[in-house]
Amino acid sequence: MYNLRDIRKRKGLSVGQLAGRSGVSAQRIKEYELGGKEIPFDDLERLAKALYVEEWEIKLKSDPPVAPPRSQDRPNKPRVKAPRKGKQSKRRPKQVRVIPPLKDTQRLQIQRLLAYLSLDETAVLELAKKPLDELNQKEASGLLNTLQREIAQREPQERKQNMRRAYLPEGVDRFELKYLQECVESNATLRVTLFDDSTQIGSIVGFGPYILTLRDQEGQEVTINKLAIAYYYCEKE
Amino acid sequence: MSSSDYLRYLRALKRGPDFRTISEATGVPAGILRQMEQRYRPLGNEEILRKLAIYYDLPAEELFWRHAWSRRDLTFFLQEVSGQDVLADFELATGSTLSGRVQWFDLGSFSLLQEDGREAIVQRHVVERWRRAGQPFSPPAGEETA
Repeated sequence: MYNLRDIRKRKGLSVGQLAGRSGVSAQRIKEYELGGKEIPFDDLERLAKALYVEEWEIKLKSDPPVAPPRSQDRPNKPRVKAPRKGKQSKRRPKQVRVIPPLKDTQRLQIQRLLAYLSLDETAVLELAKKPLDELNQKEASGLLNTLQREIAQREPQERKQNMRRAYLPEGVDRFELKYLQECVESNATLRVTLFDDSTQIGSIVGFGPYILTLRDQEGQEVTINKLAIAYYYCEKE
Repeated sequence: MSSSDYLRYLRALKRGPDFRTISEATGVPAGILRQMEQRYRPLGNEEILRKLAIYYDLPAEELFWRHAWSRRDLTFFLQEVSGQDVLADFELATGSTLSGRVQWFDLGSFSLLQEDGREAIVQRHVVERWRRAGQPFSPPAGEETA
């Protein structure tokens, strides 16, 4: 893990540029870099994305920067005035930023999204103007955004209204909740197998995204955390 | 079980210590621990996994082979087979295997219509490995990759 400042410098970005890219204010970035404040989850995600690094590579709390020695502490060096040359010598050599090739995870995700959209790898050539193997991380990231937008456009309008949710079914829990609601309405009995292979049987008293409450034949209620459940059957009468 | 689900499972087995407690014991920042459990893609590196393996008293290899398996892998398999006439097998952490056709899936579970006509609602976190019927299981377990 590295300090935010070190990663930013390595990427050749100023605080202002990083702020512009990430949407995190320059003031906050400075605070994080000085180690005065731990980077909260949301900002960490934005900063990592803007810097093209994984979140875990950034230290949540940066080490305070080491102050440079003050002028009176520095050894006295005779100042030699450099001879003036033409205008060109004043210019700094332009930094060439080399963007690394796409990551394996990016390649895999691109392939999966292509499959989801029923496209093959020739589509990459059309969308990114390059074969998949020749993309760099930035281009791969751009292609992933394009594919995600394409998926979003294909989704029904009702799902688009809730932009905080992901578009893949992985982002919703409504199928199971709908299923449980139908079980309740049909007065069904739920036969639940838990992680330890034991079974709980009863009618549904209540449910939520994380819990299920059953009432057994003796009238006793038991609330089960979904994490403890392996699978269940709804046995309708 | 994906790496994030497995870490949640291990924490539950240890009676649910919070991230700060684990962070103090391992030196891994609490934010990283939280992300490792909540994100859909693999996070963390070998050093972090070794520290967690010591904390949970496990061989590190057990975390290594799972680390490559994110929740997305199962999602894409479910996406491939759901709503189709494809028989799939799911090896569960309970030791049993359920077979059937996937009807739907969502954030936490999926519906499996079994050959006997019963519909099982399987919690995703309990799935260890999966396959189309007749094909090898994916992902391979640690001992097979070693």
